[in-house]
Amino acid sequence: MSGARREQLAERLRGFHAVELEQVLEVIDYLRDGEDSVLVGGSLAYGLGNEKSDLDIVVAGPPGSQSSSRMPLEHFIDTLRVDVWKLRVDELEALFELAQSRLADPAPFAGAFGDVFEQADLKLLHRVAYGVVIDGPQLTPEAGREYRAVAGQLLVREYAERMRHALFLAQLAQAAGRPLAAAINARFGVEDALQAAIAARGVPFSDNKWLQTRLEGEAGDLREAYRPFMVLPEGGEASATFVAAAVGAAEELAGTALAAGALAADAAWENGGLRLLPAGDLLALLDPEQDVVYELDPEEAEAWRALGEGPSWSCAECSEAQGELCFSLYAEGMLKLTWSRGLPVGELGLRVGELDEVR
Amino acid sequence: MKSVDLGARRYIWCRGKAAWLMGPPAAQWLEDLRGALAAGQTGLARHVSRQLAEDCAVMLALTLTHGRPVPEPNMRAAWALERLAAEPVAADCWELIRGFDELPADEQLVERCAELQRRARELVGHVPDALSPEGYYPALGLAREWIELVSAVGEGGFLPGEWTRGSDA
Repeated sequence: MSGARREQLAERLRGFHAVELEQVLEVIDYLRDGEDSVLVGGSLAYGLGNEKSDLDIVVAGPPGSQSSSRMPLEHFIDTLRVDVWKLRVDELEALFELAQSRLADPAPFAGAFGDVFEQADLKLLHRVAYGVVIDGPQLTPEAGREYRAVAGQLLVREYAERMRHALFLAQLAQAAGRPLAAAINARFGVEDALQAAIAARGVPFSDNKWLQTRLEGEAGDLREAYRPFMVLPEGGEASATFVAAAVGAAEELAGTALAAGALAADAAWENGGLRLLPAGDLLALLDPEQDVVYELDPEEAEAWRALGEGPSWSCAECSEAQGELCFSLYAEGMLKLTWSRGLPVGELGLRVGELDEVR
Repeated sequence: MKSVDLGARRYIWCRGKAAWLMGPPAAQWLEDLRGALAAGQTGLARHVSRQLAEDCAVMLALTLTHGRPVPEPNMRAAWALERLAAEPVAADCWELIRGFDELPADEQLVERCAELQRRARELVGHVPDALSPEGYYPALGLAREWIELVSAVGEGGFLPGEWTRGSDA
């Protein structure tokens, strides 16, 4: 199996770039240790990719060997860009350990595997779990650990939480009379639900850009679920129907309730530095640090005052006027939307395919 | 000489954000689009043209309307399109962001995306593609100049986060 995947990868490299795997190994040889493994992950290794795709390589060295930063070391072989991460196997095990502890933690992923670096870590985990070994021995996980189960569950949860976030926003935007933001987030929510459903089948992580390609291929049975959401509705009136349909479709895909009323209890608005400073008729909502000021009308100012001093406000406890004001500020980038709890995989009704429960 | 009728801090922040937050991905999307179309990957082409339009819309909104801050990714397209509502370019962005029942012909799609990118770059300036051999060092050189500029107006850096991890701790 591994040999067949290696050969498929070699053929793709040959076809797209006229480059042989041996040339790649030669170029990265200076990074090698005696007993390391060279794994190729990313779109080209997963049967995706094209002539513009780069090659992602993890060189996993023995304990005590040198490792690079999380930024890849770039190499070029003719038209092929080769990005290399050099890490020790004990660092990779620590990363899987971290992932397992995050999965066992009910806290939301945002800030755990949610930012750009941790997304890089998420990709790294998938390269290790699903990568093609092109030289050296297969990596052996610590006893009791299944690389693919950890990486897969992590991906499911990441996308499930993104789905919840997007669909909550879609419904808030619709309620606040912002049909454009509502429709855009509704589509995001369905796409995230599809990503979670595909990930639950044990498919490795690839960027969002490959979702539609997967729906044309290995996840073709989900294509019809996506079709109504491929194109955003024209005009505000259609967005209410679009959002409601998106919530329904995602609920069916993920097997969890996503109505705004049910989600609000776990969501809160978080204020960074906005303060209301009245000066006569001017009701200025100001954040000097951000160099930003808004003029509020008296009703908005009252809604703001009634929110109280706290740095965060539960969405469930906001009045309609407060909800609309908070959403408007959020849409301007001035408030954050935070979650008090994550969305553990066990709470979802996804068909998990070959994905095992992580212990 | 052109005088800037806006606070120096906000002007430089907006221009810098446009150049560095959205510029490099927008350049990459056009390459991805060409690759997708060459390989007949229409799903990828749909996604890429949408993302390119969103990034260009944000760049244009930053430079034409000087909005600050930029909201989180889920809200950026709506934020930019609402801000650009009075600009003719908004319709071009919207069509690509909205998506297509039937994808336009390859050349037509590339042309529309390239034109949008050209208009954004005209306002924002060119940022070399750090992911290409010819753009790597020029991008580093330009980043250095921008760091000096934003520091001069008392702003923090806004280079892509993965460029600065650890150094801004």
